[in-house]
Amino acid sequence: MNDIVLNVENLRVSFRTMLGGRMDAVRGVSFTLRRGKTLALVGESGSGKSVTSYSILRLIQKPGEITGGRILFTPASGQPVDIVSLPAKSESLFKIRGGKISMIFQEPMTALSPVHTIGNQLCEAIRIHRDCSKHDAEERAQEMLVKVGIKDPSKRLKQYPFEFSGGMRQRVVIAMALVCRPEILIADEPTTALDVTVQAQILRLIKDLKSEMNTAVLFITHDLGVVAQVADDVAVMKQGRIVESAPVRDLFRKPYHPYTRKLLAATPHARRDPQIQKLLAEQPVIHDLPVGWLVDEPKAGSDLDPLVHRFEDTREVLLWPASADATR
Amino acid sequence: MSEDHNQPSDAFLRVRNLSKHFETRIGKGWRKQIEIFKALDNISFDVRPGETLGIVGESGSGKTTAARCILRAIQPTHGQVIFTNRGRSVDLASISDRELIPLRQEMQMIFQDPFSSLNPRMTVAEIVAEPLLIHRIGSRRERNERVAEMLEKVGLQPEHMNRYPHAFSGGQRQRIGIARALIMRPALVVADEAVSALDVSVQARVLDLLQQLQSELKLTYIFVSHDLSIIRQICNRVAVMHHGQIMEMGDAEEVFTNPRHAYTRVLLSAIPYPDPDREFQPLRVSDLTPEQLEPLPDIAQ
Repeated sequence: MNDIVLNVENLRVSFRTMLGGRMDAVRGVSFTLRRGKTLALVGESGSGKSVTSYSILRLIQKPGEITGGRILFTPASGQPVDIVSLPAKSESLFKIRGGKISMIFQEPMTALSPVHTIGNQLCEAIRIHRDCSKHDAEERAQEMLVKVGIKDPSKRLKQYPFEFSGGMRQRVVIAMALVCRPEILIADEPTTALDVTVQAQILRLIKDLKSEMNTAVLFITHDLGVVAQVADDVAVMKQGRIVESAPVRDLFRKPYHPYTRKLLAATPHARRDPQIQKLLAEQPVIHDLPVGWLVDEPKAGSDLDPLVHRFEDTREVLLWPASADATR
Repeated sequence: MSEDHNQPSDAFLRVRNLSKHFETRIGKGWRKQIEIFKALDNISFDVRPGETLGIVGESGSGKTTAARCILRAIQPTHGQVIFTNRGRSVDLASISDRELIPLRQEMQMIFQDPFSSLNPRMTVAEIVAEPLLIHRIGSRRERNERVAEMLEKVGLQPEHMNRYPHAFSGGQRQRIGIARALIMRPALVVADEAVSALDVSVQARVLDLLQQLQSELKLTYIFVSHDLSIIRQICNRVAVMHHGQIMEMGDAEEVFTNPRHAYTRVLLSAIPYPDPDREFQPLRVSDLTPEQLEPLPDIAQ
């Protein structure tokens, strides 16, 4: 199913600095999420990928604020809503957070209280979003633990986070995020802090649950290996902008943007894989490039606006004008 | 062992039967029992002069404990760590704290977290000069000169000397940590996840720097990491650890292309490849039998 559940349009987020200036963390980002599909948002630190994802759930706090754009959420039932326009403490926003759109983070302890049992926390997640008795919530919690691969759920529900390993905590956090069957799951570097074998299992788990619940997934990562394994579509971010986006296979077969190519070249696999080296040796050409526009970075100090160029139906790349009279 | 460890040997470092046990008490009152957790379980290996030996393993494998025992940052429970440098051999595991102090100049550590491994209240110059101060090396002017020289070697500028760590990026802070580790010209450097906290493109540059400094300053590295891809990039040989034991050890390229141990195969299968058309079928540690998890009998040393 390809229907669009989230449409981010020209999102802008800025942070006020102590000296009275502004730092633009997100500078006009647009993308869509489709049900049952995973979009990977790739970039290094400072690219704005996390700030973008936090904005979707309105988790940006002062001195940061959303300064422009729309985040259109189209739920399965009910009216579409622009999340940016919702008042900060509105009922609608509370219902969306954790209920219709959920998030998991790199460090599971950001979502887990160390002084409450896992059962307590899972049940809380359930009962905030639906009317059910304590007993029913506990049953649902146990089912969810089994679903995320935790054995002995009734015993585990009575335990505290410190009694779980990192990988298991991440499973619990996934259970909490998915227990209300959200329409969108935002995963911000969920496996970066985990061992590689645990990462493999968690990626598999997210993939399986996503298919089962037809959830749209926004997966933030810096690891191109992970991207290749989880994503249907990819958007590469640099300095607050998406510089390239494409379906996953197209991106890896023909990466156009120099930054995407740089990320690929920096992977450990690139140094020894002849296929990747061959790919990186030839710069592909975009055939219908508008006159006067470059894929390369602008010169420092240029304040001319970039342009998103669509080509080959499904691909986009960010272009900069070579001079002020480039045709738009 | 009947070896006279005051005889110089040709191995740079010989680790023999190294173990580290942690005791936990369970139960209350008179029913207390002592449970022993073997973080390191009788490991033995050699490190050759000038090589980069990788120690790879997941959390709980014992790799960081091994690194700390080797440098005597923690006291091993038993075993020997025979360090041969400057024409004499010393068992680091059994010498006294006092005898250890001068030896610390010959072995140093680079830490993982660029944010917590530098004192935020010291300038870069003070941080990098600190080892010289502790060991009372050189006059103030000589120290400043050495600091400037070292900073340049790691790719930083003289104007960085009077700034504080918070002004620098993760990659730059790691460079500061490297400068601090190398300022006394140690023979052995242990890097514990030295690039794991950095962005991928920065990792590549810091690894290049480490290799360059190795040949320039004739260093021997022990590189501890959970990231096999990083290990593969810079290590000559690698030891794969699991539950406090070395499962397999050998030439790095060999171990990665023809892993002999089932656990190594599991680790390698779990690395996601940047190619969506490639089958990703990770094996699981839980599928291995206890027999399969025994270390290889003929671990190459």
